[in-house]
Amino acid sequence: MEINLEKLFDEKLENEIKIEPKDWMPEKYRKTLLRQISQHAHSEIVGMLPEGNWITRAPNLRRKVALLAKVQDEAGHGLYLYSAAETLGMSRDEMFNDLHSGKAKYSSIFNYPTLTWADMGAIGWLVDGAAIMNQVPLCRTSYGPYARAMVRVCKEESFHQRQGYEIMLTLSKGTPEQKAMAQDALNRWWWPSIMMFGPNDDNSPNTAQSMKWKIKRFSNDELRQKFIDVTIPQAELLGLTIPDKDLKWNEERGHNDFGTINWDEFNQVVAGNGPCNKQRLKARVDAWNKGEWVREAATAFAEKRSKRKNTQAA
Amino acid sequence: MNQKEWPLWEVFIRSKQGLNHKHVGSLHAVDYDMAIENARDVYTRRMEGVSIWVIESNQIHTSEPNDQVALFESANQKIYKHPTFYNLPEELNHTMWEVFIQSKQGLNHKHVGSLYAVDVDMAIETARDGYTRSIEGVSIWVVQSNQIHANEPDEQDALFEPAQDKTYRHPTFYILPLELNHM
Ligand SMILES: [Fe+2]
Ligand SMILES: [Fe+2]
Ligand SMILES: [Fe+2]
Repeated sequence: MEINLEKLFDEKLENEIKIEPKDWMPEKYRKTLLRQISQHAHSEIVGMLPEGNWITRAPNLRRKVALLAKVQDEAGHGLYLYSAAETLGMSRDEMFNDLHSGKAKYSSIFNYPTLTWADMGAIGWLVDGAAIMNQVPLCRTSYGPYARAMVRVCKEESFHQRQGYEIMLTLSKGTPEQKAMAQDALNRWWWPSIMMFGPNDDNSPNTAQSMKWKIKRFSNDELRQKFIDVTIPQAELLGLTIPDKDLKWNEERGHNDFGTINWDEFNQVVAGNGPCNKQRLKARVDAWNKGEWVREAATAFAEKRSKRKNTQAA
Repeated sequence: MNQKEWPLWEVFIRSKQGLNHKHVGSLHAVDYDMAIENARDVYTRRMEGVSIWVIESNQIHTSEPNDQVALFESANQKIYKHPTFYNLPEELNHTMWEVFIQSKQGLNHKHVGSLYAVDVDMAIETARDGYTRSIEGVSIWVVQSNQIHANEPDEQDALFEPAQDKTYRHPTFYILPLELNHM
């Protein structure tokens, strides 16, 4: 009896059985996942930089330990995801190399600068909030190692968003200057945050295939709409104004209408011309290069230690 | 470029006294000491563990997926299924292997026990008979027992206690208006 591997693969998807590393999979499925998971990993790692900028200047110890813990979590998320991507046959060093050479992309949101302390609030609230909206359905993605990594990530994200919102709440209940600072942060982070969901569905040629493979469960526009709908009352609770005069409840759709997204800006940032692209990439490349001697020393030390263990055993 | 990459280690965590070690993911480290230390930071930031095992990834042997086993089985009649195969010196029969089972695709591999076998194929087959009752879709990992590196019991407090005080890593630490309880 001949077994058709492609048919087996399709049946697994159909029956919601996860695909595991040793299973047969179409080459394009593997490549699509590899691109998506490694980009996601890079985003977590580069995503540490904008917030890392404020750790030493956090206003008090409570804020400082929380921010430090959040940034450390993002490093962890990057590592879970790199290890999931490695199961698809690309080495960690190759992935780093692609990031450092500019071949691989990461989320454009991290190419914006963090100008004030309020940005730590806006990022936790909006950027982590948008990430959560994206990541929760990924816990059910069809590739086992990716789904398991996302379950760990999602468990940790809730605290990220809450600590951000708490910062916004404190500022918006503070002095007029503090409230203005919170509003300014919302003004700058709102549009880039809703761009995080990616291009409109009619401009996102790979979405249909990804949904057929059950890598994605919702389209970019569906997730964006959900995010906007849940975020509006949160802004109201803060007494802040979302910088979109076209925001309006649409009874018929059962959703909020919103203004036109500046895709030109989005494309510019993706193409490398955002305010901080060069700075972010340079920070990663410098960290890698300056860490070279540490990696070498650790290898040398491990060799020495294993020799010592061997002679002791002999 | 890849020659310089540190070896890859698979990490297994026992989340509570009395539970099995469960696979959580992998990481790179120069040796097992470093792998255990890094596993603590990467995989147990929120008291997820009371014990860590690390195994170098290339020491783990995996069963073929079941559907593909059916595909290759007949072509590849396993030699140890012949009775004469077992006339071997005692000590060869006594290599101990640890068995990890993924009972359903999508779940993590979990440690289920150990067995004696003369080689990888026999270890996997014995595990399949003994631990999976040949249920469809079960994936088996086997590894020689001496390849498992565990944290020292007396390190347990030093490794896992600090996480207990870090309550600010939990969502409940942040008191927000009731409307935001789902956040
Ligand atoms: Fe994250
Ligand atoms: Fe993320
Ligand atoms: Fe986060």
